[in-house]
Amino acid sequence: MLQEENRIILALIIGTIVFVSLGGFIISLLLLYNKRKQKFLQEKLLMQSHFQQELLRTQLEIQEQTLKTISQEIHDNVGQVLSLAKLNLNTLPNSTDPKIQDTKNLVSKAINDLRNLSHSLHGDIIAELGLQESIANELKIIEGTKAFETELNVSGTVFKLNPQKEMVLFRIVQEALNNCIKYSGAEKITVLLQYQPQLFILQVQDNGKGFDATQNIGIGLKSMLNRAQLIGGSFNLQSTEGKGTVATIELPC
Amino acid sequence: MTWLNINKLPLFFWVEVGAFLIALIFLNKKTGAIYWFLFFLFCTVFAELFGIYLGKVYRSNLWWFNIFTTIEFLFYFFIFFHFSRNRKTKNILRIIILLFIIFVIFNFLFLQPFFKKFHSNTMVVGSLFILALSCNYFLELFSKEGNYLNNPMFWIVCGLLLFYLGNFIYNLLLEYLVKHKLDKERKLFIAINNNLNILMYTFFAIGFYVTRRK
Repeated sequence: MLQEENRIILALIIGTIVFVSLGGFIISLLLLYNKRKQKFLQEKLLMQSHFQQELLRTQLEIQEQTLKTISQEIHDNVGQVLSLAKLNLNTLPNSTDPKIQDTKNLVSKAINDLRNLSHSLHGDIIAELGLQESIANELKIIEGTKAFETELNVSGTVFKLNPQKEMVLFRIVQEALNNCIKYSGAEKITVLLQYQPQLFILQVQDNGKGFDATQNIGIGLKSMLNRAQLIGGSFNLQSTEGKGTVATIELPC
Repeated sequence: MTWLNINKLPLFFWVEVGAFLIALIFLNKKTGAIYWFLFFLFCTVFAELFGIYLGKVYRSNLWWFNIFTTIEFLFYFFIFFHFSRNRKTKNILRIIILLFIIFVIFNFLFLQPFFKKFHSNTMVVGSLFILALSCNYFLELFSKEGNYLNNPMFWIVCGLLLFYLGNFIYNLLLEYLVKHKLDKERKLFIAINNNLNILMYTFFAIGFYVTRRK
């Protein structure tokens, strides 16, 4: 009887151990599968992110190349033609005629505007001038239209960013300024550059009519966001109806 | 309260209370059907205490645990029903619930009288259903997106699987052990059962804890 009892105890213990181990084995298998699945998903996401970045980089390179070509065409072709036209106007026998003077002034303005346009489109010139100077030029052009008042504020110890990053930042500023001009109805546009030891902050503010930033995400805004992400920065847009818009780009250095 | 000696309460009871407290902290209506565990664990703690009371005062608590364990199985079936996204599984679960209720009544009427015996047959049948449903849940999980570790139901099913697998052999032999008055084995069962309860409620507590991310 005692032996039978011992056998039952043994059977109970072994049976329980086997069954619990089976459960443990099933759970371990699931956890292992889960771990591998998560790893695979992470790798897939990383690859997708790399692919997106590469795609964006290529798009921007093509865009830069196109802008460069247009800039060269404006400078070398249209600019030359207008310079020749101005020269011809100067060599006219009755060049003191007020109408001819007016035409000469108009042609001179067109040459200047085209030169400015050519400079703001040409990536190499932007790289040469630096971000701050390029933005200042851009604001000067806007101020020249007499439709807006502009301001550039720089704080902190100025340092030079990577030329490619400066180029991307400048294109974001251009897009933001373009939006201000087209949609904001603002009177004043302010650009802030904050150089902090570990962080570079760029803000484009206007005192225009604002909009619901949670609703209206257009191609322009998406492009700014993508560009900021491409250089490892963050893009944030704050806008309240009637209180203007602030676009902020933060770039860790 | 002479019937209750707090020092003699088994460890698993306190783990059960701990799981209930964790449920109280982390579960709310936003966590979905898992929220029902809050009430279920409250009832479980109450059932354990009332079972002790009946045992001490009236010397018989079998009928009480017969009722409670039946409700316990039905609750787990409801949880499986709620978390299954597969229509076929839901239909099978409807049949399981119906068959289970019929079997419980049949068992009480013809095999193990309600007031006289613990319904080990029901425990075996219920355990088999739970094990099958757990395996089916894991199979369904394979086709789901997301990290299992953040899925509360995954942890709960793990707890159920280990508990009912571990108790299965004993439930199967319970009738025999009682018939032959094998007390040593019954004590062994209590030890195994207590440890498996600790394991199950720990898994439950992990499941409740991971709902915080939602």
